[in-house]
Amino acid sequence: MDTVLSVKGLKVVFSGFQALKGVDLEVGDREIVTIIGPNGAGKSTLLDAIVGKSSVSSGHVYFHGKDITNHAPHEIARMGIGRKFQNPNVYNDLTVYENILLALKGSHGVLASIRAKLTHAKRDKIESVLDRVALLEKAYTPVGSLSHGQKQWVEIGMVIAQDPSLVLLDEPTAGMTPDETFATGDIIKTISQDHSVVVIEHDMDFVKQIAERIVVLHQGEKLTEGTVQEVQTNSKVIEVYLGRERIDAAA
Amino acid sequence: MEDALGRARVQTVIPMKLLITSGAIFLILAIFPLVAGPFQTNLMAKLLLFGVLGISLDLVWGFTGILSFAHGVFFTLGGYAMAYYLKLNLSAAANTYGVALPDFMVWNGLKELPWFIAPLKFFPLAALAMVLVPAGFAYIIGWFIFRSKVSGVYITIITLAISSALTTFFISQQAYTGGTNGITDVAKLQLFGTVIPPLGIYYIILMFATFVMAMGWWLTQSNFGLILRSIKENEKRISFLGYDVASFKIFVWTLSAGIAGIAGGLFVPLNKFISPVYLAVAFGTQVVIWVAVGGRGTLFGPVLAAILLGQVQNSVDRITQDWQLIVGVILLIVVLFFPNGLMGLVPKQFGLTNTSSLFIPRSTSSAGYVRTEMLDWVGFIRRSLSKLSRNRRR
Amino acid sequence: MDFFSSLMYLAAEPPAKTIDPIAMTSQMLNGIGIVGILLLTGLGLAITFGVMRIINLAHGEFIMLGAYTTFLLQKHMKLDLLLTIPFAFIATAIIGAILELTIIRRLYGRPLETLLATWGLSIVIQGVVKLIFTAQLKYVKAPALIKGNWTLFENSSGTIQISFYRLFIIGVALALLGLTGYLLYMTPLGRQIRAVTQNRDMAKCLGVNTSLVDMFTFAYGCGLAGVAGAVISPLKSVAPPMGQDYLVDAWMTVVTGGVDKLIGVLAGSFIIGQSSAVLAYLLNDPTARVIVLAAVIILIRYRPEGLFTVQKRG
Repeated sequence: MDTVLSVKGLKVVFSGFQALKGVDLEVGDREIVTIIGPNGAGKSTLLDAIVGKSSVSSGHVYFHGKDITNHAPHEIARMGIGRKFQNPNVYNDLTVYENILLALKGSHGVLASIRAKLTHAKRDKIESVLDRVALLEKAYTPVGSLSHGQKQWVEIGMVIAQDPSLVLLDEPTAGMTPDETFATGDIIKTISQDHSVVVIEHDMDFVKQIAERIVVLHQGEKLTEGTVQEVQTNSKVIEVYLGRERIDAAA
Repeated sequence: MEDALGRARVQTVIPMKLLITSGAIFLILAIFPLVAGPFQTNLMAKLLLFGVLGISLDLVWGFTGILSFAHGVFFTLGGYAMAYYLKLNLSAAANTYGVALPDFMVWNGLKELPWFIAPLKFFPLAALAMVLVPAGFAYIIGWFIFRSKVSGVYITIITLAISSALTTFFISQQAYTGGTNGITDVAKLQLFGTVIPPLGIYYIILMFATFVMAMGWWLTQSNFGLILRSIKENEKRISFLGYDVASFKIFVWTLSAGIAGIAGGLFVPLNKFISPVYLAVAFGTQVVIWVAVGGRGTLFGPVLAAILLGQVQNSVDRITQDWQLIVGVILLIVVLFFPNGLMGLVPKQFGLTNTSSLFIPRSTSSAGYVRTEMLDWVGFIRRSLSKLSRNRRR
Repeated sequence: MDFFSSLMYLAAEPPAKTIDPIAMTSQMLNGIGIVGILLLTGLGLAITFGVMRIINLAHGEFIMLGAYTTFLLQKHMKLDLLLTIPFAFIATAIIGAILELTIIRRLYGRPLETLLATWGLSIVIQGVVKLIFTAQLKYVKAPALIKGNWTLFENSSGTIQISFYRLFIIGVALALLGLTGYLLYMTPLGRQIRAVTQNRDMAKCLGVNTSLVDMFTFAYGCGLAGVAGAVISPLKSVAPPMGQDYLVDAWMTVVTGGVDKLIGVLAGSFIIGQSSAVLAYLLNDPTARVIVLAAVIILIRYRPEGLFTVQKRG
């Protein structure tokens, strides 16, 4: 299996505070890697560093073998990494359709966008994405008027439309109902048939639904990684989560 | 053939209402000089140029979110290019000094024409300079400020500083720029040897303004316009989608400066002079006010505001001493109470809002600008009339 | 807006032909004087923008109002300049408080709108002052106690001296910097101010009257501007547009030095002040302005946070 993403010894420092203390991570082709950990463990920071949003103090990020550490966000996005943010980071003043249109994979240069026409191919693609996230009827409504869960789906749709080889999802089910959560799990499983996915999550039921490999972060470091079973029975993990009901004890 | 949403797949959307309304406006403006006197024609031509200047600022501010006080600078740089051309072509008879050197250079002891001004004697070069100097200047500045990570507020303040610094600089370089008085006593604009009459200049300006409006409309309706609006709303997000935000900003900024420069160039034959007054912060503020009062992101709004405010200022001439004060009050009122400007008051029915782009049907006229509902005057009148007639029947 | 009065300040001087060490040192001392002015006028901005994150483009007008207060008190009550300073503070602080209550408050969280509104305010204030006092230049007398120059060096080729008044300006600026630092970091009020600006909701939960704190902080910033106006008023003339140049300079200081730490204002003032002075000596004032501005534009491309800003978690 090819390694799509390779993170080595990543350190991120925010004026004295070590958010990431040297993290290693490997993501293979069409793999789903779930990252869990208490708040403040550095999960979002890890994604920020990969995507170019936060600057890396030391360490490297390799994407398809190429070193992308500290590159500009738009360059990294063009190379094929798509990020969904923790809070729905969508364009409230634009319609769902327009949000997806913006995200569509294609040339994003200045001159190209002036000449761009809305081709049938593009329309088809947008419609298929809308169908996948079940927002077809709401295509022409401004995103601002949608519910929180629907906004999350708009953003997931945007990431799908980007058609990146690596999809980064930061707490995609935050604020969703159990039904919506389950539907999201299905969407992620279909996405992973063609893309590599990294998911940050808190909801353990959801994690169990989608998990192949889990990575546990704690205080900026990787605590352990493995399957759901291995992680749940790991003594270090239990210690860190002691007292929290979110991880069921192995009983 | 319908798409999955049940709507016609390819709509050739010709915004009929828009065409009719703007056609009407064009006709009114076209016959204007035939009914108004020469003074009004000259004034209206100037105001149309100011309107174009407003459109150029609207492109970067109303659509992309970059508030700039420096658009007067771009306008004036173009103006100086044209002014040098007209000055250097002043016939020997009209030129009091009868030499190839403009009067202000002679006064300041220059012996020969500086190398960077001499080429402006030729129309093609002057015309190029009229566009390229402001655009080039804008491009260089843009490359620095838009590739930095500072917030928009800092950029606005830098445009203030640019306006202020260049004003004092031009004033100080008397020998080259004519100092405080600027470049006066210029030749009339000629085309192949014949002087263009004021009426001709008016129509040239009208065509130019129409062209800029049409181009602006087309640009903002395209995918490009969608991206600009996204940058305005949340520029970080779109960078994560793969768009190089800085290059879009630099592009629209440079384009805007070029348009402003041409407007400035066309201004000189009307105004008969150019001076650092138009570089100063006061004029840059005027441009901001035209866009703020007219309505950000509407293209029509700034033109409307420029014409209206220009006419008002003209008739209120006696109190022009305090015009600045009035302008300040207007700005305050608009920012606090009418953020959508005048276009927010125009009835929807005129079709002047930016409606469907890329053939996408809209449910409301949201689209990120002119956000609140336009007052539905016609509908309101219809409803009141029908209510009246119902009451009468009782 | 009348730029004719700024002509006086920025009249072109012929560029120096050789670099004379005495004249150069003299100019660098001049530069210290400019640093003092920049620091003094920039302090208020460090409060309203640095602490409260409010873009106040009317800052220059508060400086102007302080100067006019001094002028009025001198004219009608024959007060020495030093005595007018507290009044300048109080007058501008009150006006600042009123403006915060009526206008600034409504635009909380919308920086571009605040910028526009305060710009409108600055035009209105200038216009009103012009109506009341006319555009005529007014003159203020320096304090009786502070006169003359301090000669540091004298020989046949020239003298190196700095006027006591410029030293006084620097002294006041540093004193106010110290006072502000003390206020913000060592008093309960300062803690409240910092709490409100860092986490408003939390501060409310803890019982802090955030609206009062806002008003007070903004008023304090404006008051500092008023003091600056009073202190610099004898340097040139007093006229409605006098604040404009100080506004742009103060903002350049803030952009260069960064706003997260109070020390940034000091650093920014120093850099902008000294480079302006040296360049003005070598070339002339207007060209110096253009070069310094170009340098700032280039600076923000490579070091956007200013020199002393803290990298945030984003």
